[in-house]
Amino acid sequence: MAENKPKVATACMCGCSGCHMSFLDVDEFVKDLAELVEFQSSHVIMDVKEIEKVDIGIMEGTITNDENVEVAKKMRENCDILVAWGDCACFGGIMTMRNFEKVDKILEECYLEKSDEESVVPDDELIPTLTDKAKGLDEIIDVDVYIPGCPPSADVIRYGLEKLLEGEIPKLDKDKLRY
Amino acid sequence: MNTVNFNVDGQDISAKKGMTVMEACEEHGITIPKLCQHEALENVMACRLCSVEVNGKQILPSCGLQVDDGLKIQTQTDHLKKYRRKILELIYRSENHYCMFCESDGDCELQDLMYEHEIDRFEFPRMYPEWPVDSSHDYIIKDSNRCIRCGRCVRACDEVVGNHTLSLGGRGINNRIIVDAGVPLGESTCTSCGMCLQVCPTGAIFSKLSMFKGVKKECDMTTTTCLSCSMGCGTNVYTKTGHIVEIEGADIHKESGGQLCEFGRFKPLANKGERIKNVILREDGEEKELSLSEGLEKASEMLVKSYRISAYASGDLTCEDLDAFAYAMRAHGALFDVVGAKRHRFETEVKRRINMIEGHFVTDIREIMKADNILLYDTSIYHTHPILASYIRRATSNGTKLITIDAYEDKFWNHSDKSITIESPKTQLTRLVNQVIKEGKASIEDLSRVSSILGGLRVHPKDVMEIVNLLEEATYDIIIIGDEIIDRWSLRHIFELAKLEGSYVISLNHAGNQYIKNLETEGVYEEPEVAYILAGDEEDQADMKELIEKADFSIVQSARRSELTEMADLVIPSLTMFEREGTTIDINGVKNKVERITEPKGGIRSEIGFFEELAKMR
Repeated sequence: MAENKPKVATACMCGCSGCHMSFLDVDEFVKDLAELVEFQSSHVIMDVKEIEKVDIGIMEGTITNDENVEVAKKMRENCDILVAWGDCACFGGIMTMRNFEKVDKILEECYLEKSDEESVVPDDELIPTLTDKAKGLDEIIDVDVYIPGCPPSADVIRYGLEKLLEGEIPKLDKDKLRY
Repeated sequence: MNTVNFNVDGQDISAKKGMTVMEACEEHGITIPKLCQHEALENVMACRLCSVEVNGKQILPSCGLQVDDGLKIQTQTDHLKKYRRKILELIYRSENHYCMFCESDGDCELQDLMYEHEIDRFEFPRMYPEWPVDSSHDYIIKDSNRCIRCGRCVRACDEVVGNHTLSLGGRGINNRIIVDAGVPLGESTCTSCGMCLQVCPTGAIFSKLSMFKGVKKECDMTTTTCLSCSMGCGTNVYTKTGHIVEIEGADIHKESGGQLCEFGRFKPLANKGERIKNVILREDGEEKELSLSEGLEKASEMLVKSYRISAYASGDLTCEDLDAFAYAMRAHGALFDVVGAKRHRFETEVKRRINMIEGHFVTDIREIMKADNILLYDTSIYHTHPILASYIRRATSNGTKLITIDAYEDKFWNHSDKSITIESPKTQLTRLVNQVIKEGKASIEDLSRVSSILGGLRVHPKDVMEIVNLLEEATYDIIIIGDEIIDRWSLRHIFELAKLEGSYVISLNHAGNQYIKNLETEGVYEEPEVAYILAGDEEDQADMKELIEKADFSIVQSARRSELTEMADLVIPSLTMFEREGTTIDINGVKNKVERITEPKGGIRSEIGFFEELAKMR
């Protein structure tokens, strides 16, 4: 009854894909999950770029450039329940360390000051522009489920998914919550 | 009536009058979240996290609220929880907390409370203020990014250590912990006691020697006694897979406030000297490695064929080690001495001569904090007995007058009311003080005459008068004699002064274990045929080096390679402070237990067994 399976899309913004890696640690649950849900797109297991209408949208990473903003907004439009995976998506995470400096200053320091003479600040139009601040997901879009952790452990990820499949909105208690 | 009855969360409880609501609740197993409150420190009600609902209307911090009859306290209402979550989030957003790479991840009180309050999202945007990291100190890193301004470190530095190095500076959002007048920690008046990092609830102040070695919650913890000096501080040693992660003070509820000093907290972890694994024999310019049993043979061979044997032990050993060593050395007819025992012998001799009774000696060093005046001979105790020094500093903060007498710079310069610098013999000064007290109202002019008769004195009559006046007007004064005063005449005059004025005396020596007072020691041959030195963990002791130089053959038993072991003819492995087991006696005469923390990593498992064997081989 493939048509009744809930559809899931996952996406990674500016992050290390560590949350997706941690998700793969659920081991044999992946097999069960494959029977319970249908993955519409997920960069770790399939090569689909477009996000279509899904039931559950899962996002990892910080919003740091205009592409991230676009993907996040598209995900919000296309999913019923949006899940933030990991510290980056929930709070901003390690990427927010760039918020201590202005964007221009950071680019200058990375590509000019701490590089060789031929290096230039990349300005190709295909390269997404950095936002002025690195932000957590909920500063751009509404988030329904927060699963913090760096990364959240496989058990916590599994707990979150199981609750969602049972039709509940999971909330981590103090034993499951880790930053 | 001394008890009051009130109600907490529907439960009737009674508590002693004068207690805070928080203390009373904790006594009855009701936990209230807190960040700035610490049991060793005064309450300042800074974080407001412990706020409770009083009589259904007011919200007041429970650490500052005294128990009273008929109070109705609620500690866990939804309203309070919401309020606490907001406080936690505001604290978090005001600084830069990154749990994923913070040293204190897993050992952080702020993090624990955020978990407890199930904070998985933020309502307010974060601030990202720019704060510096100060890593100028040898042992301590101060990272303002993790600092929640609870002020525990500031209070610990003031109330417990009495050093006033840390304080709060700046206003509003620029409020921060500053060191002295805003200097780096490494260039400050910091005594490196590490009390600040022990009380820090987050990762704002942490030790370079313990960082990223392990989460304390996952470590094994053993309570033992520090052997470094005669204060006998209790220590909690955290170990993971047989390695020491961190050392903390254990006596949080005692007057010492759980403080340790550099020697108790950092030095044992900083000591990276190479451990001695085998016996080393240096013969005819050659260096040979021997097994322990061969070393035992060689040592006994040298001891058996010699007549003039000097045995000298470190004072930082357990009572059992000292007994075993003394027994083995006596069996070979050696003269036996321990670091610090010489001073004790002089003291006993002088006491007997001037008929000074034990009642003149302070039985509990914490009495220092109750004294009206302190007369301190030799300020080097600032470094050799840091905990005692902290009591002196705390006393001066509470109005006790401090006069210091030292040959060199006064190390208590910013605490003493009067510093007298006089080169040895200090006895001249004390003698004049005695004379003035004995002869009644000698004027300063008379004194000048006396000092000119005595000739060539550097004592200023004014100094003498000042000490006399101070001692005469006070009701409770304590004379502290540092461990560097080892001439009989100085001791005699100081003791006479104490007797004359009815002052109490604290007399310090180099030994960490005051068991030396019960041991029979007699001083050693200065130029022995064989010198046997049980150095343990001790390094660079000048008198040990001198003895080796003068001996025909020298045996050094040491845990690590040091200058001493390089000089010796025969080097035998020994144990470190944390590999010993037994008892030690502190300055108050209290016997404390020393636990084995780590398995011996050198070339010897038991020194006591080794000495038992050695005693038999004669």
